[in-house]
Amino acid sequence: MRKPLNIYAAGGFAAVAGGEPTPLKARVKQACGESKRRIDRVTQLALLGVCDCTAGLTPPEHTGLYMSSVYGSLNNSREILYDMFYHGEAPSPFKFINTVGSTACYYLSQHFGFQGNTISLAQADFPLQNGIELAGLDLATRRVDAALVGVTSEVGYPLEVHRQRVGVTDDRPIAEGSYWLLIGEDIPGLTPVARIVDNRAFADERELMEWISSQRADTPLQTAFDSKVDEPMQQQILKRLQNVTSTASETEDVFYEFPAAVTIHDFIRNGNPEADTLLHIDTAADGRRHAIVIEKTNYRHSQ
Amino acid sequence: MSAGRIYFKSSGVVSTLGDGNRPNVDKLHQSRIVPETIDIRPRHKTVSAAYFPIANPGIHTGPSRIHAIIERAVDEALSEADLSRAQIRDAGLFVGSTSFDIHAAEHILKSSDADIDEIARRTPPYTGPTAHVAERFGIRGPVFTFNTACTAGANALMYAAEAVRRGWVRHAVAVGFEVFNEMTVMGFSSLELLSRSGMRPFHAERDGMVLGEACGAVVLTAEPQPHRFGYLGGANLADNHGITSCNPDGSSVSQAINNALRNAGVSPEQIRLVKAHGTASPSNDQAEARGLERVFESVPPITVFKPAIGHTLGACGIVELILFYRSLIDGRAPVFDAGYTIADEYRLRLVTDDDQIDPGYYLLNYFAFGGNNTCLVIGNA
Repeated sequence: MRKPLNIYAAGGFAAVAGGEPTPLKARVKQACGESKRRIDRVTQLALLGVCDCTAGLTPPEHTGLYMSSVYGSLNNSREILYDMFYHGEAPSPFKFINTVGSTACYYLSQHFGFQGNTISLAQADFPLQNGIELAGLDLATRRVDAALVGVTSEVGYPLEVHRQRVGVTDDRPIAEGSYWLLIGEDIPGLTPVARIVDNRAFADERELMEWISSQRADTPLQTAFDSKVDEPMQQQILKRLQNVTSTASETEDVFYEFPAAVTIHDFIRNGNPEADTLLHIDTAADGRRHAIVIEKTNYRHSQ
Repeated sequence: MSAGRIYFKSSGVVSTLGDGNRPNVDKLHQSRIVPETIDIRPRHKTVSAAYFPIANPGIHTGPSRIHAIIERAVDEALSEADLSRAQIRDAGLFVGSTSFDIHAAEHILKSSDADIDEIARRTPPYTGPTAHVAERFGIRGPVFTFNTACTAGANALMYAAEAVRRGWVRHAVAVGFEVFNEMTVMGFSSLELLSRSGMRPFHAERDGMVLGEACGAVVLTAEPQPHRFGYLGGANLADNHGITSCNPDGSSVSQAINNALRNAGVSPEQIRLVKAHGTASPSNDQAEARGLERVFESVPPITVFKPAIGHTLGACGIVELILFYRSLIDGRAPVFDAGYTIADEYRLRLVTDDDQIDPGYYLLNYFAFGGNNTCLVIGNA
């Protein structure tokens, strides 16, 4: 992303997973104003997140949807494989349709009456950040007038299996949900709450450090690091930055599959009186790095 | 309107037609292609379906089959592109798929005592194949994996081209792959979308599709290429009509086509040939035909590839693009012996060997479950 983008809203939904899936049907009905039939859990979580993000707002008709997910429709897919290989049963039509990556975006688009892009990404690394990149491309070429960019994650059951899948084998709570940003270059009638000043990937640590060294923070800076960014690297980065007023590693208290999205959401929605700018550093399993810079505007998003 | 053609520097493809660009294009033009019949026996029952498998003894079965198939196509594309290691390292990787690594999970379930939860513990996220490609070929640029069903490959190509056009990367590798898995075949069977008589897009008595597996890879660059073929523009558009089919009146299809033409700066009159999505489903062919009729006063000749290679779902965006432009580079209309005619009710006609296809602009349509419609405009004018 090369051109700054405005953030007009940030919102989401998250719930800590218990031994059984938390019922969401009634919540979806309340949030959407109507029942949604035949949708799976991923779609329920996505709807709840988008409804929170856009509460009180009317996004333009040509709003694009960019949703990232790591595992997709996890429980649904497991059920289908189980029914097929243990009972010899073919998947029901709607169960099969719900495994398709585009399905959640379809229901989102239909609910809001959008006439824009719908892009679903399977993205383990930099999921929100990559969605922002694609949205930036479409905004720059006027394919869309605004973009809802988000991440959605469903906890798989049995929970103990999911813990092993995601590598969280201690007692930490695991959350599921979705987080979204409404972004654009200039959306009439809406006031930005923040700006995405930069959003870029790096092939390795060396490239990240070169970029870090070139940065000049004009406003108080909050840094945040993905939990996979080790302490020595965090210290190297902090040494090269100015005006850092607070630093956080991604929360160890609750496991999210999309910690960057949670950090960005919290920075925008909950605020940090000590900092106007957030620099988030993320890292991929193959050593690639990522940095996103978010700057608050003077307007404070009402809760 | 976007500016600047993004060129197809090279490609690689593996499909039922063969292993490699040349065998695929040659076989497409040589003979009537007939699918195989496969039997699926997940447990007690047997389900038989027509299918177009990749027939290559070198690409073995087993969990690593997915990697082997993708590597073949990407290796051919990168070898032909002749990029340096540094250029490959800095390239972007844009991958589209529907099947991801479901095949690997099913293989483990069928061949071992591993239960479903053990599979869940061991199988990687959907992004496993993409990560493998990046690591195997040393690609360290931005990496995206598109999960939009039948438009996944087309979306991967569109955004790869736009990333090159915007100068994010100098080169991009766009990959579309689909590997056989029983869940997909049985899912389409449940939806009653599989043909019992063979795949005949736009035929009056069409009765559905035959699935296939394939992998295609294209390397994109802003540097002009001798053949001049490249991407000019495209559009992706939500269709809220229905989750499995476009609006049969053609309105959403025509909107997607018009958006793509506008983005490419090309008028309908300039389109010489259309690569139809042509799934041979009663409703989607209806929607596509009506959509084309809305856009074009005189619809250009159309071609369809799915009767020759099957509906390769997430791969079709890239694989059909390669068959299309590689045929034209050879000086041949991208046509094969379809063995049927289009229904009289549609103002469409299939391109033939007698058609002289001069350099110009071309429209490629792709429509997917989830109301995901993508149209690409390419050209060599």
